[in-house]
Amino acid sequence: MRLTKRFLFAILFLLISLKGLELLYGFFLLENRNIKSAYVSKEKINAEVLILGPCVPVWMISPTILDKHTGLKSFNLAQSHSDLADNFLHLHLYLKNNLPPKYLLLYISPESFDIRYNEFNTYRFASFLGDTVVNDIIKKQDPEYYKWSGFPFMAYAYYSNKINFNVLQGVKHFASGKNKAYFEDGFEPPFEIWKSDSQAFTESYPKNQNFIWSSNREGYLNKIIQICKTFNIKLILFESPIYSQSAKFQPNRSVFINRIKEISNYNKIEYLNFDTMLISNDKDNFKTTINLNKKASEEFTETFGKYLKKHAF
Amino acid sequence: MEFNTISYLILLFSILVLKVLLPEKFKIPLLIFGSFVFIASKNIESLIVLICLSTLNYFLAKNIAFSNSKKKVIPFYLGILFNLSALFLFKYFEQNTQGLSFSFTAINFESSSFIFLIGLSFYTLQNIAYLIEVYHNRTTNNISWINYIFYSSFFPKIVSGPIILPQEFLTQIHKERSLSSDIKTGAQRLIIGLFKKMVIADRLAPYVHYNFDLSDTNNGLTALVALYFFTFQLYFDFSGYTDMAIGSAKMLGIDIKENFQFPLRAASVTDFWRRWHISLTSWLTKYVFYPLSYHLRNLKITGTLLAITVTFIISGLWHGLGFNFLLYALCHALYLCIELITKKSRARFSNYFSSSLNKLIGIIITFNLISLSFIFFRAKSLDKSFSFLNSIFSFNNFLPSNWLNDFVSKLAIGGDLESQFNLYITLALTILFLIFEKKIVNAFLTERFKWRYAMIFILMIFLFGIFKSREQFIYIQF
Repeated sequence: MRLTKRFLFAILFLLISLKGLELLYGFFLLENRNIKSAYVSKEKINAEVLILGPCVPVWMISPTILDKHTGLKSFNLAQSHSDLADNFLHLHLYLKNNLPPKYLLLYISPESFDIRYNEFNTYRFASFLGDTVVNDIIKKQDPEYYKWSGFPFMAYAYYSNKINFNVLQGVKHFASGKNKAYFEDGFEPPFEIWKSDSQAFTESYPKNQNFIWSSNREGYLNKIIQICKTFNIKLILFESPIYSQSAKFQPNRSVFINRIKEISNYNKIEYLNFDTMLISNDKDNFKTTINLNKKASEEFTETFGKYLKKHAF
Repeated sequence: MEFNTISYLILLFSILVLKVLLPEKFKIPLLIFGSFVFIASKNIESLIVLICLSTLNYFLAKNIAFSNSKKKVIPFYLGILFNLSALFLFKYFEQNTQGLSFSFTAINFESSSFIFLIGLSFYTLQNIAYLIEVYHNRTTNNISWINYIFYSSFFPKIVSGPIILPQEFLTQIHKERSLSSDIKTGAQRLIIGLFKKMVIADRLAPYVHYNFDLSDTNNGLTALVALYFFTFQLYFDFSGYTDMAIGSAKMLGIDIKENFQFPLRAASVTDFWRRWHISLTSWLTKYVFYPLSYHLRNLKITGTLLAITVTFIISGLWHGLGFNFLLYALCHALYLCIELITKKSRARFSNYFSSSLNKLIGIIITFNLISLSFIFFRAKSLDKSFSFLNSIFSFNNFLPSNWLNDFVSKLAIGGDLESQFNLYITLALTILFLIFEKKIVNAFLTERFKWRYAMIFILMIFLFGIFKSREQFIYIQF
């Protein structure tokens, strides 16, 4: 009897402790200004141009340079390793707390529709569980996580390696009263320590590997298109330069480009493809086959900004 | 179904509750049923092969026991042949486009074996041991078939041992035991095992994977530290598994013998093998080394050295049919032979130092020797092993030219603050646990349930454990 009592007390203690931790983690993650989802949910950004996509735009498009050429205020909402579901949720959270932008620049490439490239990063939305849109997408994209997320603290314990540091940073931001993100406009300049090496170039596309179209990814592009229509946001799809020599490792690249064009035509959306810009020919402009280095990124952003001002805005 | 999953804990808890509620006569059928569910959850072939092989061994053992000394030779060798054939067929063959062929294995997690049979290597050794014991009239043969199946399939030990003999196991069935004491000590052991696996081994796994399998431009120091990581990972993974196996079995009223005795504190390689994978070492010593040494006794020390070498070659082959495992085994054979030859001179040399300094030097040397041998155990090919060795011994390129880029970033799989934070947390947890391991074991693993310790370890698992991308136990593949 004594043992049963102690056992029940221990279970109760454990559940209360986990619930307490869950509340603390949720609070401090929202206080972390360097987590984009938390930042845009707390701060009023109200940008006129929003940039969305995976690592390519986050390390490439500097709002400072873009604003200079377009005359509009922009914010880079892109996130590394993010797929279209991830992008959609970031946009959803942004729109909950901010005025809709006039333009949304969404990075789209053949990789965007192949599940081997980028992913849905559930942990970025752990503190937003409860929002029905977030719940629905997490349930679909990461059902195993969703199943356990109802258990006290499991929403954070499940991806503890991706969470703990951010919680500590949240504590620091809360304690110091910090209200701006480290990268205030969302642009993260590419690290200079990375070097272009031939291995990275060839490993991205093993010989004769075809892209595989994912209807799940296409579904999230449609959701982004839909949300843009609802909020009257002009959506512009774009692809930045890719290293010209890498095209030969992507046999069905043109098929995918055509399919993207079909989608954009059907939805009457602009699709700007810069994949064969002059800078594409020089390997030294790249860090990987699709990621430009700092200098080339600036050059591209200038061209992109001028083009947008002249033709799209 | 692996030990570090909720489904396993639910299975264990359900069996435990039923065991408490049902009358004593249902104990064995219940545990057999639980074992069958556990094995079939991996694949049904494993269960079928296990039942067939156990039944075959059981009846062969009966035959040996009831035959005279001349007649029993045939069923005995037939039994050994059957067991080894099963091992060869299911473990060493792989299915590929050309049909079946020998698989020269290395440690990897994409097993392409013909059929993956859970625990085959372990229960094959148990079956062989039983046949030998019966053949030499060293054990009773009045075991029933149902008890033999119970012994063979008992789920806490089926995956990766520890290897035990039927008489050690079955004599406990009808012993009077304290249920609450079994549950308390078993649960504590289970918690420690979960902690070792989820908080230490699985946190180290991605660093090891990256540095061994993906990155090939390591400087010497980075390669050496990555190698240490693997030594820690392997120890915490396998000993964590063993803790969970022993803990689960204890909760169900069965004592399983220890498989580890703080091996990373061993002061010599000989000492290491008394502390590491004890059940396999005991098996090999009893059934390979002793008989061989006896047959080679006329060769004196050469005979012993030969027996050590052959024993380790068999141990290597048991792990897999690859040159990597062979070289791993030969490394250890070499270490032990050198230790044996230099025993006297080392004893004279050690007189110059205090015993604690001797021990410390011994631990450092042994740890490094063991870790070096693990290069062959872990690397996916011989080329990879030698290039790793080359990195460690390339004295021109031993120290990184840029500490952040070439050392921290490589080990942490990224130079950003988050990656570094995760690396340091992992290192801190590993080192702290290693330092206080003995104290933790002595304080926590006692008859009395330590609620505070249990709560701390469970909370640590929730805070730092790896739940996603769960790594499977390394020794499950052997």
